[in-house]
Amino acid sequence: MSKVVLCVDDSPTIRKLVKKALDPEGYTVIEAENGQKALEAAEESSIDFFLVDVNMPVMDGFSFVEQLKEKAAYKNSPVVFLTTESGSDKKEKGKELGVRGWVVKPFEATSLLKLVNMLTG
Amino acid sequence: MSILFLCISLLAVLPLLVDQAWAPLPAALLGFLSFLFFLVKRRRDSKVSDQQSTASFQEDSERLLTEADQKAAETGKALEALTLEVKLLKEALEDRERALKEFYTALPMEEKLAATITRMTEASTLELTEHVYSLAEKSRLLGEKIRSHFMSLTSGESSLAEEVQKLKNGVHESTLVINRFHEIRDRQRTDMEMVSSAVFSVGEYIASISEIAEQTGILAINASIEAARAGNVGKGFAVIAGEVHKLADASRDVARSIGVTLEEARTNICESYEQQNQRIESAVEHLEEGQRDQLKRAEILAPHVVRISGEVESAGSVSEEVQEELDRISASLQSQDSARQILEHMMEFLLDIFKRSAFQPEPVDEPTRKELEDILAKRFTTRAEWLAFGRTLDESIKKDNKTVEKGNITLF
Repeated sequence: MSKVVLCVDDSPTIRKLVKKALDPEGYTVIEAENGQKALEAAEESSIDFFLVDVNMPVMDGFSFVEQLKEKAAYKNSPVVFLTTESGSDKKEKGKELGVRGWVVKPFEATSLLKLVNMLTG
Repeated sequence: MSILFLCISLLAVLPLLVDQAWAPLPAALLGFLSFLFFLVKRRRDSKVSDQQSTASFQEDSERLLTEADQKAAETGKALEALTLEVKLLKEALEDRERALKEFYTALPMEEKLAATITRMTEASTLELTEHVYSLAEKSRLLGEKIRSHFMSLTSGESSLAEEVQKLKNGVHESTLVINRFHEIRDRQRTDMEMVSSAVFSVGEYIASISEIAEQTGILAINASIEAARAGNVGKGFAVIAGEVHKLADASRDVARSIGVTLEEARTNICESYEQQNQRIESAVEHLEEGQRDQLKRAEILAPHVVRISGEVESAGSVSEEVQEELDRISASLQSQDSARQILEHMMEFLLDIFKRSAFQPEPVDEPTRKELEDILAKRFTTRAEWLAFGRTLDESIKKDNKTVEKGNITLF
């Protein structure tokens, strides 16, 4: 049974690159273009790992994580932010929300894969 | 006085019309003049109420009035200058308003072009991503195949390395066989020498037998002679002597036959030995030739096996290099995508700025809008720009358009 990764990013390119990086390694990658769509996807499927952009229209990454962590099923699920942001205040906010990692774009497929392997293993 | 009040009124409303640093100055001048009038009026009033005003006060009043008239004249001139300036400013404002309207009209055009850029960039990036990863996957599969082929050459039962080892083992086994042949040949030589030696010994015995038979024959002849001398008494002895002579002849014949037979046997054995020896030598020669051939093949193949082993390792490192390159391309694609997003943000920001402003200029009339679009269209060089504005492609562009005939080459 392959593990399911939800990639939440408003950029189709980023979503595709994440999918290309993780698909061959046996992960099933689901895509969502904002936090709201991601919450809907999390209701429909059982997600093992969340890869989330910070700045998105409709609902940003912080709001999404806040609402996600309120759900019992995803309270302890691993969440990593994948963003161009790298400010320490933002990182601190993410840490307070309980995210497990912070990846600054542009990301390397190999490094991302290692990170996902580590946090889902 | 009425002119003065008119001027004062104009000066009072000037700050409302002109948003400039000097705008409050006329208002200040108005205050000053009002204060002067206030003083004059008070003095006149005091003249009426107090009949005992001094002549100097009258003079002062007249002087002040003269000065007030002069000030009014100066103010009139200043007002004329200001009116001219206001007129110029109004013209400038009208010009700016027109520019703003045009800019406001051009903004959706820019937005349309920006949308074209972002749409094209996004589509291009996605397509490029697909191609790059497809290429990488094909490269990976090809690498695996090459690696698998190389592996089959360097390891496994039917591998080249195994064949080389078999050749080496074959050479070793050939050496053992050759040594065995040499041993057989040497033993046969020894056997042959023993046979020759035995035949020689038997020959000597035969010679002795022949000599004994000869002497026996002579003895029988002598006995016959003596028997003949004895007459009738010796007749019986003569018969015995004759038989002994016959026996001696028979013994000599048998001895000669044995000698001939042994010599023939020895000759046959020698010939057989020589033939076998030749066969063994020939076989050894063939084996040695085969051995040399096998050794040569093994020596030729061995470096190839080593090189192929190296290639297997190289194939592995190439796969890693491809992955590293893929990571770099992925980073470039993300940067390209970031550029697209920045452009989107710029346009969103620009539109927001216009929305925030209370001043929303009326759109320009249709001919002006068309004129602006024409100015923009003069700069169009790509098919996407023309299509974004729903325009018919310029004929020259249509002919040269690479997207219509992809990859088509025309030589002149």
